[in-house]
Amino acid sequence: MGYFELITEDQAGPKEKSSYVEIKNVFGITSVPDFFLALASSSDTFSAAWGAYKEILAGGILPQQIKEIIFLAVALNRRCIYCSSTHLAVCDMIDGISSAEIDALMDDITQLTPQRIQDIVTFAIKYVESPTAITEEDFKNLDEHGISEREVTEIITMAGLAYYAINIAQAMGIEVETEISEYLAEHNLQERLKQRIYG
Amino acid sequence: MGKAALQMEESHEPQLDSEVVATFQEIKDLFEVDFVPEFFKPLANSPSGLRGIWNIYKSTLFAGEIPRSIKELIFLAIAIQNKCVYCTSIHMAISHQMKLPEMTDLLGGLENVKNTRLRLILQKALKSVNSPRSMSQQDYEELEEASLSKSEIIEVFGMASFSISVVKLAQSLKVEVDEQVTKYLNENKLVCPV
Repeated sequence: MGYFELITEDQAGPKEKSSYVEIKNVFGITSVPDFFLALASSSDTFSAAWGAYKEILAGGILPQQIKEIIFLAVALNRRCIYCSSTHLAVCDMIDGISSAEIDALMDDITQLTPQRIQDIVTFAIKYVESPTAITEEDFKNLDEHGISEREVTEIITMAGLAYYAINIAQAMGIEVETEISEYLAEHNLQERLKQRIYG
Repeated sequence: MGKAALQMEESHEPQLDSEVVATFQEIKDLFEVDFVPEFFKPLANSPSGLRGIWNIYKSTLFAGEIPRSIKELIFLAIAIQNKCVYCTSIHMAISHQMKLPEMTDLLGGLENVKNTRLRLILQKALKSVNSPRSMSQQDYEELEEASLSKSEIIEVFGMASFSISVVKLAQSLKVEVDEQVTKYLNENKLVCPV
């Protein structure tokens, strides 16, 4: 077990307990991810993160698939084993993300199709790696794909939320849940991911 | 680029949806200012995006056990290190207004911060964003020895992670320093070190 304890559903106070129910409902899962269980030791940090997830990841008009792709791309870029594992499993599980898209995210973003998705991911990665190098051209490019200002704002706030959450997960040393590891192993993604993160 | 990348002019405010108006009001109230900082305006293109980011602000900077002054200095240290003119300017103005003597020390470099506990917290906050994967048991224990509880350590990481995320948002969106902030810095003879 890591340094930070996990506040289980039995141990959680009433506020966290009701958020745990929300987390399970919003993501359609049966247990609360360890990331949130670990944050719950700091009630306000937990609220900060979950409140933002609810608005940015679960709210808005951008399709869930695009948001999950952004999260995975940022997690892989930051080499976060916890976040990459979780969001790789999610991307593999949900409808609407092809295995070709997952392959491209894992191996080479320039192979990502359609071009619109590739440009969204490239933009999110630029936010992470070199935000000062983002130019008017980058915004124009998204606009030419028919992406509205509202959607561009959602793309960038999604990248921002992902970066924030990933950084916390890494700083706290959150470990990958057994269920996620098993899922990835069963779907031949475990070794590929380890290679990608540590290789 | 002369202008912010995504426009959200003040004159548009009356047409904003009621939730954005309410969020803007809350921002002004909590920061105790009579203007909405430029940073939040492009975010208002997406009401959910604005609320999401603001929610982190509210629960991180204006809540928790760690004093707001320490959090402001964490933000400032990360803004300076990432050479963000917008974030450095506004958090310098806020720190000055809050009369934080450590601000001047920090502007001269982390090694000039005399309070050893504060310096340690700032060092670990910077490490947690510069190389989050290298944070170890030893880092946690050093913070614990400086009498931070586990929940406070989580708060430090939450604050630092939020700061770097916001700095990158401001840089990506090419947010320009608010006139009010520039005026405040000039009046108080404060020079942004970035």
